[in-house]
Amino acid sequence: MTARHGLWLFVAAAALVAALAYLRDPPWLITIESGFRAWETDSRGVRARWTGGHASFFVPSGAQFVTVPLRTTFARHDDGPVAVTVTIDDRPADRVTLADDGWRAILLRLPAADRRRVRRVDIRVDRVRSGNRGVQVGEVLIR
Amino acid sequence: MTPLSSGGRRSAAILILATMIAAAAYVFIYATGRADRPIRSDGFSYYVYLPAWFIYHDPTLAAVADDCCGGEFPPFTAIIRWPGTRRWVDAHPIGVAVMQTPFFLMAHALTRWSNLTPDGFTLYYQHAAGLAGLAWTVAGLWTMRALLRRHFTDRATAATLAALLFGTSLFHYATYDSSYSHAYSFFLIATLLDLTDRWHGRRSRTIAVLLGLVSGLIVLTRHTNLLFLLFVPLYAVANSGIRETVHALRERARELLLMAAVAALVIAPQLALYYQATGRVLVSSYGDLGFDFAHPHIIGVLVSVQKGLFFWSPLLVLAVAGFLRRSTMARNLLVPAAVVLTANTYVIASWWDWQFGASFGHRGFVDALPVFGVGLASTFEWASARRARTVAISIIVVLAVGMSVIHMIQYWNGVLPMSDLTWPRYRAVFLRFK
Repeated sequence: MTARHGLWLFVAAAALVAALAYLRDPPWLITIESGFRAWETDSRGVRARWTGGHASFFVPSGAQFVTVPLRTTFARHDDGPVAVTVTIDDRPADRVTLADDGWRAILLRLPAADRRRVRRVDIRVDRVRSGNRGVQVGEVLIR
Repeated sequence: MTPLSSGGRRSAAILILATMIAAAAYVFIYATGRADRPIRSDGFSYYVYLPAWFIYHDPTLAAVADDCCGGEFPPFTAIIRWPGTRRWVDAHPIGVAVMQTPFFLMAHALTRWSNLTPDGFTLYYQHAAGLAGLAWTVAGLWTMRALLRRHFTDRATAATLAALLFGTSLFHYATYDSSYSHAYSFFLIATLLDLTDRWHGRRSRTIAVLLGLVSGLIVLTRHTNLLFLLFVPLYAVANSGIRETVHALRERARELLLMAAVAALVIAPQLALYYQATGRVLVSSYGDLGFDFAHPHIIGVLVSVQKGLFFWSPLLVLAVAGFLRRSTMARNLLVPAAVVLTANTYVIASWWDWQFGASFGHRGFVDALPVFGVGLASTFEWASARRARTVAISIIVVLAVGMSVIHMIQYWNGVLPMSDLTWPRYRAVFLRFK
């Protein structure tokens, strides 16, 4: 290996290490979501969006409480209750069953802040409505 | 065999530049919201095996269905419950997922490192799947370069690679719809041609094993592409004649058996998946959807305004003309190309949805572009012999490439519909970008 090749290898390795260090806890992670449809507003002006079978979003790790409004629909006669499981950084945080079409707000208490800027909240449902619609999630409140 | 030109800098430079342009286009497409996330439509069902294998450790796909979709895959995924067993059968085979594996594993590691949801569908997985298609297209072009440079000048090679990428729908399937199977098949068919050319040049067990591996992957990626394997036995018929070719193949029966054994080994996991889901090894994974061989839409798939191959990629007319020339490489490919492309056209034209749904140009033919590439190189080399020919062919190529790029941007902008285009509609939006 020539000195020139060695230099290129060193530069590539340094760039890889720098990129990985940055991607460990990037500031833009707070804006990343998955599994959500577009926002909708109902006739009463309540904003919400459907999840698929699984959706996730991030909250600041300094937050103590997160309130997540949830709702589902019972448009068809065979639409059964929906069990919703919520985890924070893959640890169980809450589990509720939506048995009617009213809004239900769940209050999540976040563990003490850790070294990351953000915590990940995952919402999973045990069944979906037609068109892969899981639950409606309203505006999330963070305190 | 030695390269006809020793440098090859021109074709290498073209490929490096083309890679940069394709990468920039990929960023542009997703940064401007021109396309939804990469794992979508057919791309979902090609990819879905990876989270099933590596995250949920459940090859039946049931665990992925539970997590992504509340237990039931939506209809767009083309993953159906098999009547009788009620198990999931994916219309699309595992080849694309196999070739996406290194990209997926990197994305999975990065996802865990960054604390994104490790479910197989968050940010890094999405772009790993998208960029995998781009990377395999580029790999396919490099393979084409190696093949073409053994038989054509570097100038003809460079022109062919650039024209193939920008003058057909290859660029679109390398960037916008890169999670579909076509980028992968493009690489595999290019490699099949390259290895076949090498194998007919000299005895080699290594090349035979590689040919078996590539043949298996070709079938795993798109079952109907089995037809392309005819290139291996038919390669030299045009030059040597049928009797001589049969004799030569008989002499190399052991290598052919080795090839077949490796290919069978590669295909075996797919058959095992079909068996666990349906109780049968060979199934029509599309369920009730299938072919109507009595009523093929030959005109539709070749020249129609809807999806006609030569309407959307007129450059390929030059490729067909190239096979009529007496260059060795094009001549070697004449018989298998005629047989395979004719049969492939008939199969594509007989599919129940002969337009292949939402697509730019006719995506069924993207897999065959390496074959057209040889014809194109032959034409370009012919044209380079005289200045008048060079000028004439250059004008045609610039116009064809220009129209293809304009059409592609129109498609990205939603000006051209995804299917069922009519001539009045085409005229109404001609050269319009909004």
